[in-house]
Amino acid sequence: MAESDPTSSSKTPAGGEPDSTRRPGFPGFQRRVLVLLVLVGLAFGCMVSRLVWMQVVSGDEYTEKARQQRRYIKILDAPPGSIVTSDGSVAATTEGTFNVAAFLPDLDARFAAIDILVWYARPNRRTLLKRMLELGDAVATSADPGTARLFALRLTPKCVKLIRKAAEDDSDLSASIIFRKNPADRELFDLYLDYDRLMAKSFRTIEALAAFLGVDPAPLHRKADDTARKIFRLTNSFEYRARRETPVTLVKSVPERTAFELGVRAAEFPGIEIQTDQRRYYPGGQFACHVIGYAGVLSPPEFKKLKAGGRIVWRGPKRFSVLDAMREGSVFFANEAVGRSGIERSFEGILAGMKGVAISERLATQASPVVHEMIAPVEGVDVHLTIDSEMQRIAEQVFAEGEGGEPLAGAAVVLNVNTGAVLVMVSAPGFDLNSFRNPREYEKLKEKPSPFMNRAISAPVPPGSVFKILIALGALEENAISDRTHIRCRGYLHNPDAFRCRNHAAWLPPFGVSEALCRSCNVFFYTAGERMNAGGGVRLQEWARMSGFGRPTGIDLPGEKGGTVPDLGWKKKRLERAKSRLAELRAKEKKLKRRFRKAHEEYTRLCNAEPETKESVSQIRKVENKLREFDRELQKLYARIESAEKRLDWAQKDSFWTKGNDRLLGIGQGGVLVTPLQIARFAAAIANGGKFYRPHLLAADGRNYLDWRIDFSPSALAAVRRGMVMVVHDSRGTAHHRRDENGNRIPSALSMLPVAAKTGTAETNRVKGLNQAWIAGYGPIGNPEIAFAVTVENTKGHGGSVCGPMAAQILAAYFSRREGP
Amino acid sequence: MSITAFGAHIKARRFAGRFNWAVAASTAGLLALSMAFIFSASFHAATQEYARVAKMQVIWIGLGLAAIFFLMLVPLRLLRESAPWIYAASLFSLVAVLFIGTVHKGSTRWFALGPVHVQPSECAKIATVFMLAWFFAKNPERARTLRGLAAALAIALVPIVLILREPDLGTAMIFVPVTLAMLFAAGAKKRHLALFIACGIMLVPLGWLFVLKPYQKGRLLVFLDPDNPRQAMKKFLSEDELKRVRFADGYHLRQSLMAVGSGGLTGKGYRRGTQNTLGYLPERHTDFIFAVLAEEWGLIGCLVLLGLYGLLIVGGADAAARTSDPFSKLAIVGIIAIMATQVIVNAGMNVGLFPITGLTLPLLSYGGSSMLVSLAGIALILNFDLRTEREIPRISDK
Repeated sequence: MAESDPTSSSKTPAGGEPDSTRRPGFPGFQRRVLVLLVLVGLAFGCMVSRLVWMQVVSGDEYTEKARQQRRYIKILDAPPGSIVTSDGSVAATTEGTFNVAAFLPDLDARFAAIDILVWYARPNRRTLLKRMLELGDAVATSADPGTARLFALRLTPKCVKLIRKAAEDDSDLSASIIFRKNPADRELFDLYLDYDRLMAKSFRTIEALAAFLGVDPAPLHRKADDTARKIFRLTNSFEYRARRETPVTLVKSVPERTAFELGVRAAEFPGIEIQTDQRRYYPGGQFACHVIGYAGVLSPPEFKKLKAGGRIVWRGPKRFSVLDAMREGSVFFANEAVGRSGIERSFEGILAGMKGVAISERLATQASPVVHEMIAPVEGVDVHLTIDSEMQRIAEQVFAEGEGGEPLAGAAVVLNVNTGAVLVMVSAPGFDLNSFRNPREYEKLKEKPSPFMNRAISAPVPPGSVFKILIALGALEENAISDRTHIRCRGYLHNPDAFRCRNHAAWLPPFGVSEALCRSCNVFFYTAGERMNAGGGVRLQEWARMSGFGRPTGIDLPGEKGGTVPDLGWKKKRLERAKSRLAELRAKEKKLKRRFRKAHEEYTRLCNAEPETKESVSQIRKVENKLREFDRELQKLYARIESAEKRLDWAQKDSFWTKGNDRLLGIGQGGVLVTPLQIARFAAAIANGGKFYRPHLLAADGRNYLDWRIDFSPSALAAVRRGMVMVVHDSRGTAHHRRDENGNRIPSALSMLPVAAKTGTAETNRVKGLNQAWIAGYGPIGNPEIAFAVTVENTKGHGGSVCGPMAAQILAAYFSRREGP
Repeated sequence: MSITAFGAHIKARRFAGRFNWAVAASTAGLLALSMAFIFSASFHAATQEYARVAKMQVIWIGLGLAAIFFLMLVPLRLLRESAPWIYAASLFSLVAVLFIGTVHKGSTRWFALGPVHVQPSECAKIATVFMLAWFFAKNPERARTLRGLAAALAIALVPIVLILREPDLGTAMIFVPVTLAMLFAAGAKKRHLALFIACGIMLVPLGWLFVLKPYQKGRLLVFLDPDNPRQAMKKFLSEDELKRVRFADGYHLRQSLMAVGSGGLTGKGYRRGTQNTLGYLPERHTDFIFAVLAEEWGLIGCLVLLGLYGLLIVGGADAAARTSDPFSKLAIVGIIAIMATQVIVNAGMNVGLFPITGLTLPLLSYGGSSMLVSLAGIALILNFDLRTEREIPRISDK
């Protein structure tokens, strides 16, 4: 064709050749066809260049898009490890549970009705759903509910006509068009005409389910309906399909038996199914609650902290890019429970294991995905604790029984003196790890004094006379006193002054150091403290710090506090803090006042403005409320300022270091704060000859936990130990005897045990006469194995009377087992 | 015996020389591709099963080849003289389908004849081409007068209006370039054609306002921005129309673009297309068969496909240029124009150059009516080529 001459062909008919007269042709036909071919060629050229652009130049971009669309990631959970005590009893574990869930398309007839209507009547799904929800909320006052409902849905008139016709006449052609003669569809259509009937199935099923499970049906109804509504509102049809296929959990953790029965009677509960789930379970309930801790969902700031600590936190949806993060390390998801306190927190990493991931090719249709690549999850490792479950249980019981049935608040710690292993760690009051999140339970817990605080490590309190062990030892080591030093106590230091001693009779001969410990004589230790720091030194504080006070012990639990060892620097810091705090509050006050004034100005302006309209009245209300709120805030602020002023006043008055301070330190008061764990470790060091082990809960990991050791001189150590033995076993000792109901002296339970101890009673509230009672010591006397510290807060009793018997009960378990049954 | 044998030999030589091998070969190639890719598109990864369509397509192709054989036997005169009757019959079927057709996805395009569905608008395309060819062949001078052209336009407009009533915008629009191509080939004056085109352009706003339904507008607008179709619609549609736009979320276009684009130069391999086998690509065996091929065979496959279509079109144009019978000339141009337009529009919508309409890819897409009509068109080209005198004889004829 290309070689044909267009001019010749167009001229032949005009030339009057015989062939063209016989059969008239189209002039210039070939040329015109050629033009058309060129046009087609141009179009093909465009197509090819477009294809080159799409497939070669930007092919990778489309490939990635398609890949992201079809790949889908499933996170595989790793079963977390258990927490086991030294004698093998399980304190925390993960168990399978059964949840009752609703498969909404089977439960809620609205889903089916919507599908059918969207398919046959073809209204926009979203508008249909919206109308439908409105309908469910406020319809059915009309005389002809069917018509009213149809019009309320605002379908096209043609559609309404068709539906009406179909409803009236079964044999009508339109009915067959709409319902394809499927009786099931027609039934749903009838249901759809009547919203109440539409909802009846779901209503009935949930009522039956609630009755079966014995729970309140209202929240179940609400949950199912709310979820359905949320799904209806989705605009993305993929998301819509995916969400409606996902069952909704209605009731969590039903008993196995119930789950089984529900499965058997599945026909009675259409749309209800059983899901398996896992949950953290604590067989002991309240057992060692502060040590074990709990897991929970983290708050955003906590997440940030985790991230800062090098953990990878995934907050977004589970997209493809999470993979890279998972390859790097352990990933946490924002909605996931993470260990929040205790062992659950500090050993989170090994308990949790590593999550796995399955990458699948997802089909556009809802069939199951084909697994393509998988990183298997790594199971969590069990954590074995040094906790002795028998002693721990007894210790908890002791606190719960308390004095005459009144539970006590306090803490107890028992350590192995040769390793630093924690055998007992109790903080009372405790809480039930399984049920404390239950709102009713939580309300009850709120009435107790800070049940979630681990008093053994995170609540420093004044040690009182227990501190005298340290003073005695320090003073002997510093040669402030010697074995022969005897000090007479007449009930007060010099004259009848503030430095009193009421721990023993006032007419006794002078005491040596052991007897002073035995009788807990204040005057002796006022003197010892004063002498240690003679000439403005800080040897006393140095000894306290050397013995591990004033800083955390480094136990493997989160939230440990170090306590305070006061000196002049501390006082100055305290003053600075008080000053800056007051300044802060004053600035706040100023700001608040300015805002208050502004609001007030606006108020007067509004009140004077004319004329009064509806809006202006409501605005005045608003401003009034604002003013009232400002006022309340100001009142609160003033109270805080007042207390801050008082504190500053006190800090200013007390900003010098005096002899009195040294003396008070000598009896463990005057600002010194310690934790029971520190005291127990110090007692252990006395027992083992000056070795300070780091207390730990993780059992048998082969590490040497010795942190440092002090070479106490044997004579000093002997004197102190002798004093501590006398406390329990000498008839003058503060823990040797107790009074029975008739006021007769009888030997205390503690004195039956081979232990040495020191009692202490620190005044915490002089007005109410409340004390912090203490007892700390070690045993057996000759060859020490364990050290202990027991403290009770806000008690009217004394260390010997309150803590002594408690310690005796806890230790009795140990010694009876040691001697064999 | 020997004379008869010699005569047969001469006949065979004449047949071989006159038979349009280019059209036949490209058709055979396209049919082979059709079977291969409909087989691929019928695979379902979830169930590892093949849908029925592959088997059905083989049946349609078989029937189509039988139709070719049958149509090759029909004398040219009979075809020419029956053109008005064919046209009338097709108009009747277009009217009838509006009343007794089956409703599917909102439009009435099909007759249900037992298990198969017949689409009369497919036949109407060829019938209209025949009618126009007959009309101009009667008196070629008609192409050069405005009256004659107006009459030809009326011939085309009747089926257009009927098809728009179904509604089937895509098929109706096919008639426009086909008619224009035929008018042009018949020798219409350029100023007349320009006048028609100008009128047509002026009618576009009217069509937008009065003829198009909101969902049709929506689909046209999706094409502007497939990733965010709602944005474009908000600009061009009223509040009320916006509410009635449905099924225009750009899903089809996005999936098709991903399929074509991810094919790359050499493709992902036969039956390894993820967009195809995992079911992301909608209507993959009909409207988007091009995307399936583009995904699995890449740019190279596309070039092979377009080359085959090019060979078909050039071969057809060659036949039109060489035959001496005016009716055949115009009919061939019309049939080729139908094919070319469908190829350009369908492939164009697969790669995002055209808005998505329900047009099939001739000879490749699944569908009985489409396949039969396409093959009938091919048969007619071969028939005309074989039976008419040559204006410009081939070398083999001499």
